[in-house]
Amino acid sequence: MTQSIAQLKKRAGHFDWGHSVELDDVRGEVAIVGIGETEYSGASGRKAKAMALEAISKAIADAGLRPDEIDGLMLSPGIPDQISPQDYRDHFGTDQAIWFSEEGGAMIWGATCAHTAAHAIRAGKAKTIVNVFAVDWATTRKQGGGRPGDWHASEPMKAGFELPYGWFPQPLYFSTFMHRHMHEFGTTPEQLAQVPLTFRRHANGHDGAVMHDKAMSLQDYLDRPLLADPFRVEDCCLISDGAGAFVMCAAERAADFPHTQVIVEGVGRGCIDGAPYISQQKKLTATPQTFAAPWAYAMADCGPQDIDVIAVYDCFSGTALMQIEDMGFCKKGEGGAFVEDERLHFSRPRSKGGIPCNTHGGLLSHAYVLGIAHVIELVRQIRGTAHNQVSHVERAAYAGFTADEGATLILRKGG
Amino acid sequence: MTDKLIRPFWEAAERRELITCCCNRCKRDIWYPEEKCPDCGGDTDWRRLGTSAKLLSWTIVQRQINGAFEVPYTPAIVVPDDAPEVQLVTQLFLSEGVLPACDMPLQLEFRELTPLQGEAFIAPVYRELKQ
Repeated sequence: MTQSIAQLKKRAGHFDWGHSVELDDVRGEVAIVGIGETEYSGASGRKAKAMALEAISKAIADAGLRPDEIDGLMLSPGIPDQISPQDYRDHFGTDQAIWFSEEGGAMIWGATCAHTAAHAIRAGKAKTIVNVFAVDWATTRKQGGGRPGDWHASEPMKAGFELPYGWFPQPLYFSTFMHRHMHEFGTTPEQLAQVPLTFRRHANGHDGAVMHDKAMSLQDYLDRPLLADPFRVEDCCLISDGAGAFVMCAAERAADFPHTQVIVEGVGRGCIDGAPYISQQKKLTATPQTFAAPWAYAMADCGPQDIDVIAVYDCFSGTALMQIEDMGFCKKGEGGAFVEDERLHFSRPRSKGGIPCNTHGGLLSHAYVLGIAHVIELVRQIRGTAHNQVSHVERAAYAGFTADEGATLILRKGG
Repeated sequence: MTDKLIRPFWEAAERRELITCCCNRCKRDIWYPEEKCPDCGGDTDWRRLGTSAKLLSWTIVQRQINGAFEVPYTPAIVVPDDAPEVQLVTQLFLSEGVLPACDMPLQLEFRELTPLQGEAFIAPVYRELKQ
């Protein structure tokens, strides 16, 4: 039943400008049994560590667990002010041993953490693992911490060949790529607008979304000034404070928990060649999701036609559009026409030709917590408890994105 | 170490020359520059490129976002006609009334760029090819 790497590789296919990471088959091994979130907001003065602990506390409670029953902790590398196992024990007043991994959190790791967790559970390193992601960037930005060029200046080739021309930060990368998409495929600004507009409507229906009270029409969008042509501010992610967490354990235990079972069916991870310099990517109109999704589909033994709802890392409208193509919901280049006619709206399920996407509002209109809330939203969709609930959700897929890498997580209703 | 991979490009620009890193052994272009060829392991050197290129893609920065230059300005990625492996980040300086369009033929020129912070410097940039 378990597929070999060779089988997965054959099914995922071969690519000429990037590759799939060879993740071994973990289908059906892990379940997500608890979810927790803080309030999401703009600058709030809250600290990342405190928010992480609050989200964890809620996720543990949601799973019906006690804090001393958690024996694994995963979070993201490279994000400041994260918690440690000792912070966990100090906060909850426990003394258990905790397996710790920095291969968790959000972005691509919001997907691949399930694969890492499967291995930790197999190896007996942990039984009940909480994955957490917290950011306080809205607050720290307001306090003047960090400027847009800081990270880019730390990369020698960016500092040497891109910063001198003012080609940074990320909105410029992806606005440049979007023009190529528009040129090759005829994608129009009005089509691109459907991405932020649909996500905004989802946020309007989700009272936890930062942009809940802010409606936006197509005319409102088109009337807004361009930031980096063809992107407006509305095409770019928010900057937010907030945290999310979810609890994972062996799928065979999933029935012991209070909620509808959410089983990890497939995980994929892909990387562009020539990394990490995105300017050198050989196909500007696509994303590394191209190499991640096929591997996840192969592991889950399904295809895009079997997915009922998606959550896509929408750092920009254009990257969401391209990833929807790269996941196979339409052909490369047809994304502009595809996202018209409400196809991303939660009210248009697969049976009506749609693919509901970012039903919480995404990074554009819910909160910029880098994908952790995307995964949590998909768990809610499978449970049937989402604000903008899609009808008949069996399978859900998350597409994560981090610089030169993409990742895919396929979840299925169990039990 | 990285300095010798970057500085020659800007020293060439001072001489009004555009150069790319390339492999001494297998002759392929290597962009961004590396000390050894990622294909054959050979030592790398620099070679001068011609003036014609095609526009791969572009953006126009319309609102201040990074403190780099006065807006608007037009960053772009171009591919020199004689170095198809090189995707050069640069800026466009098109004549009035000429709009950027992917794949349009471009002509190299050297201009002094004046960032909002730091000193002005000579940079290879592009304008539309005049027929």
